Amino acid sequence: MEFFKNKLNHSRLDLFGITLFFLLAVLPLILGVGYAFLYSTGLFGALSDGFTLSHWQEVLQNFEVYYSFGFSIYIAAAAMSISILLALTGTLLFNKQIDEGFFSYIVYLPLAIPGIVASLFIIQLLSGAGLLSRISFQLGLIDSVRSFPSMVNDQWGIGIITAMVMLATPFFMIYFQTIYKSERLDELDRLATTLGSKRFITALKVKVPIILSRAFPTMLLYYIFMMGSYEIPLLLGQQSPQMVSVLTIRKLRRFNLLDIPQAYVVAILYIVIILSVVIYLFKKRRLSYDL
Amino acid sequence: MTSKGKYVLLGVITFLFLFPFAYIVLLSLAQNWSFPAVWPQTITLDNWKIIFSSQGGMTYSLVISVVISLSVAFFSTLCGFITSKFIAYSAHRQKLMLFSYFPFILSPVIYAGCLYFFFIKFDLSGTVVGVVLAQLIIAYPYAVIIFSGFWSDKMKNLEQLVTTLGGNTWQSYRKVLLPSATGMLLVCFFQTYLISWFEYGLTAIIGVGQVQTLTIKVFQYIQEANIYYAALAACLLILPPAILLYVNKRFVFKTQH
Repeated sequence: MEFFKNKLNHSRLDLFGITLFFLLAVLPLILGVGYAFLYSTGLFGALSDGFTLSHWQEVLQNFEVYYSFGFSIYIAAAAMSISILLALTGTLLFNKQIDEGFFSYIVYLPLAIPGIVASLFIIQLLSGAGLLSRISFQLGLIDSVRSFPSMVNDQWGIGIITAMVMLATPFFMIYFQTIYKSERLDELDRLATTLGSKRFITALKVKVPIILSRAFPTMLLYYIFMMGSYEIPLLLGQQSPQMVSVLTIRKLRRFNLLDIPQAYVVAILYIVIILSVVIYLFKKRRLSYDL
Repeated sequence: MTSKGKYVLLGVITFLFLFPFAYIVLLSLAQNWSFPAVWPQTITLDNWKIIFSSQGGMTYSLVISVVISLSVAFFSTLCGFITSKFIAYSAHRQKLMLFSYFPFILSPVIYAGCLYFFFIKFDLSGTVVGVVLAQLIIAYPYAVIIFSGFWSDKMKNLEQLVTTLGGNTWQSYRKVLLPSATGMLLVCFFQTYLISWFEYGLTAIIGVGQVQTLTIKVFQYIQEANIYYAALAACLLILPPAILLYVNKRFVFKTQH
């Protein structure tokens, strides 16, 4: 056995593989985070003048950053809650149709829509001159573009949330359906019905908890993914508050060089928060990609 | 819910899923579609002719997007497959897998912002090679995650059998491992292709607007308020993967081995 173990462990391909892993996964992370940290503490960069925590103080005393983090958390939470509610309802009502037949193809199609195209569609649908506004005008509900309550670049992030829901709902419908099948929820349903349970009660107390519990790691990763999304809030969001990634890049690309260290402070804060959550999750339960 | 009501609801959902595609295609064919008209005054293929002309650089964007995505998908799949084997059989599997998740969940655009300095240093910013490398930093760890479920005791035993019978590493890959992983290789290739094909933020930062992929083009046209060309570029972005998904949905989701 030891022979095979050594033979497997020392193949050139394995060494090539781990070298690549170091170069493409570990090294960029260390370099990126290290550079951002050095820049944020004044040890590096165009205006570097020795170690300082002034950039950190400025960012932490500025409410814009807290609003930005709060706004990102709110947008991701709202979009996730609505998507999961819709996807759960869809999966429970149409699990057979998602699995086979015409709808089983249709449900996959929205996965071919990237964030930037979803944003374009939402602008065309929900803006002041968008399709809903035009229909409202034709129906006599509004009398001009201005009368329509624009849901793009609005303070509640309705456009951003709608675009995210549009992309996430089909994904979760398919994902919940794979769990529905692998956990044999139909058999559990029949058992519960035989024991006298009503279908709605079975769905609420048996199926939903099983699906949500199995899907929890993926849902959390998707939540983090939504928090860090860029092009959707860039096109559909307001100037203030902005989501974290938009705020970071805005500060990074400003002409004022003093904004760059602040951008790296925000980036470091975001990375630390996200990494802490993921490391905590890894310790709590083994994350595995099961799609 | 009654059976009839259920089918009506299914019809509504089907409409909602198909409507964005129909609307974007219609927008790409439209001209003079101003408020308050709910239907364009002119429907024409004129906008689509730009693909076959040198004007606007749409053909270049399409070609460069295909080249970048194919390169990213090919290298991610190949390298991810090799690396994932080492990680799967490593005593430090858990810790190494953690590093695979980081680039995937950190906002790619923030990550790109942190790495931008190094791309400038190595003269890679604003180049196709730089964009491919930057996208690899996201797609390759993702490929490692996808393949993590492939390596099992069964695969290990098969590889040991090849060694017992006198085969070398190359033969065990060619005759056993790669044929066994064909389905997953296809899934990985398609998913990493999509990651690259849909990428905007990272490409915008590292490509500094000089590498004009289709996503960059859509954004540019939206900013110029040229919605018809934006819709056309969007069609070029969504139609190929949509057709592929329709033909073979297996490419999107894999079943755990």
